[in-house]
Amino acid sequence: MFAIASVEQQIELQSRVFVDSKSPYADDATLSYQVKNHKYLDNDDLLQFNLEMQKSFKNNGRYSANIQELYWSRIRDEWEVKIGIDTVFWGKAESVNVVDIINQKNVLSTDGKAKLGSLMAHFTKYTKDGLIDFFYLPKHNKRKYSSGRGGLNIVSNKYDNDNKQSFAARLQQAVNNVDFAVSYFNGVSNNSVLIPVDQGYQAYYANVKQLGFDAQITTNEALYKFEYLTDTDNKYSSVGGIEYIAGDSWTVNLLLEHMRSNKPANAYQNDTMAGLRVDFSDELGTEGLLGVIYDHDYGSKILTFKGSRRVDNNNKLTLEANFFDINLNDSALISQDKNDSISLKLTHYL
Amino acid sequence: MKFFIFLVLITNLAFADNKGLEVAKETESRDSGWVNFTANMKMILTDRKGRSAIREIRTKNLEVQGDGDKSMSIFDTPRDIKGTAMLTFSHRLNVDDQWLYLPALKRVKRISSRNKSGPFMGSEFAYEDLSSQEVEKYEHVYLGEESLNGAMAFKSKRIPNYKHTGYKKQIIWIEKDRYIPLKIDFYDRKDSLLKTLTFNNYQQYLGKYWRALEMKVVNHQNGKKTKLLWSNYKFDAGLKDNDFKPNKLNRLR
Repeated sequence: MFAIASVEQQIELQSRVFVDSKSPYADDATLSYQVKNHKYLDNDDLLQFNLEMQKSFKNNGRYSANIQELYWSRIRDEWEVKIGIDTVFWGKAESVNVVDIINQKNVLSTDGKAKLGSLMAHFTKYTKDGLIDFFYLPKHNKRKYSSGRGGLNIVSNKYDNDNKQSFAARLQQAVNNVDFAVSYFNGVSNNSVLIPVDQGYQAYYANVKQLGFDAQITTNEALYKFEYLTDTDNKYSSVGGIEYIAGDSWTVNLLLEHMRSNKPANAYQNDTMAGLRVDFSDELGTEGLLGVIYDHDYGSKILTFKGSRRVDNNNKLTLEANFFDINLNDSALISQDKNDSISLKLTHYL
Repeated sequence: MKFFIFLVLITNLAFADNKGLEVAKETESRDSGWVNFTANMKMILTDRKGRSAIREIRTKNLEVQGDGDKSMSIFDTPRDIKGTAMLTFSHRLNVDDQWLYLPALKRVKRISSRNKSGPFMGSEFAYEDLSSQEVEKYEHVYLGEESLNGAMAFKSKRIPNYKHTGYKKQIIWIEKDRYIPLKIDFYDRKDSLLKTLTFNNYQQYLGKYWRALEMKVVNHQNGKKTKLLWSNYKFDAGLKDNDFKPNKLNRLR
């Protein structure tokens, strides 16, 4: 048989403090362990495995495990097949990625961008300056809501029918300095709509047909980014903006993106994100991203910061902070209003 | 008589200018035809207090006739960026095309290569020092012959022609026998001496191509040093244009 070829492991210790005494959430500390390994077989096939486990010291000792990847892949010059659990990234923007819809998001992660692995069969055909992807997803992943203090009590789940399969395709192409992609998704949405019921909520996952488009134009001084997602009910979400490269020796990037949506309960229906990304290019890889999101309809404001710095070759510190100032009428975000938090994470690579 | 002196001066100058370009062209032509190679680099960064940090990178390189070369760098250490890959299509005068693969997000990002003069991974090498060095990227002015560590060398001044450089000029010493660089002095935009790069321990591959297995930069302004150790040079590595595609950055090993 085969031996394990490459094993990478990391341990993370994270402490998160909720600044506002009125926050429904309790301060928390978590310990995470991640193990990744990949093995190329004699015929160049690949076996890939990536598991994350997390244990909370508070929140009644909540424990979670998430298989990010567990797949077999046959890789050839012009095509590739993957079967198993995997995560996929689609998109170009920095604030939100509205076209990135294949995986269920891990809403419990501090930056909200982490994903849960999904079971899929994935075929890729490489073209001259692009590729075509086809996906078949036989089952649907439910969103994991936190329970306990401050959490949501999901008492039931609702689907349109018993068929929970999804299909998706994506065509990606580069023409000079323009990169664009068109994607199609037909299946069960990963976005849940929460319906209040007795003693909690019912999470509703609708059947949707979605068409996505994303593009980036790269010039010497700036990157122009755009994403658009629409469905058969004429509901859409979009994000577009510019990343301006200001520094010659340090990387100082200025970000400006505008988000729009006519979907119900969408937090970013008419919002602008202004951000500053600094990469000090020093020995410790010090970098930081500061962002402000402003809602033009309600005047809600969100301030986010994420900075990281290496301690040495095997250790890294990450500081994250999120501050909310939410208008009472901004129903999609009002639950976040008292959740100002600061978290510090130490990652140790074994 | 005056006219004669003037004429001699003019021909000398013209000859001198041509000689700088000639040396650069001969250096490039002796190093062309290598087609492709892979090599590993280990960078040792040392600060003024003597503390050091290490970066290990695997590289794949493809020669492109009539333009700059294509190169791929895969980072193995430090561990937080393990698996990150950078693909560069360098160009003679136009800005380079560059892509970054971020393994944690599984995201290929096309990036602007404007910050050429920025430090490469916190080292004393700038991105522009490590990109492919085409003759057209500089204006060459010949300064004469000089002996360096017992070898005779052509000494030239190079003035970068491309945008966003961190240098006003460079002084380069090319060994006369083998047409290989021995030393470069870099002058910052204010024209003061910034750093010195020396090439040591040259090895010959395929009976033709010389590669320095050790490159050392000393920064005179901040006292920091970076030593770059090359190993595992493999020419004729069987690389094709297809191995340098941004859409395949996610499948590197």
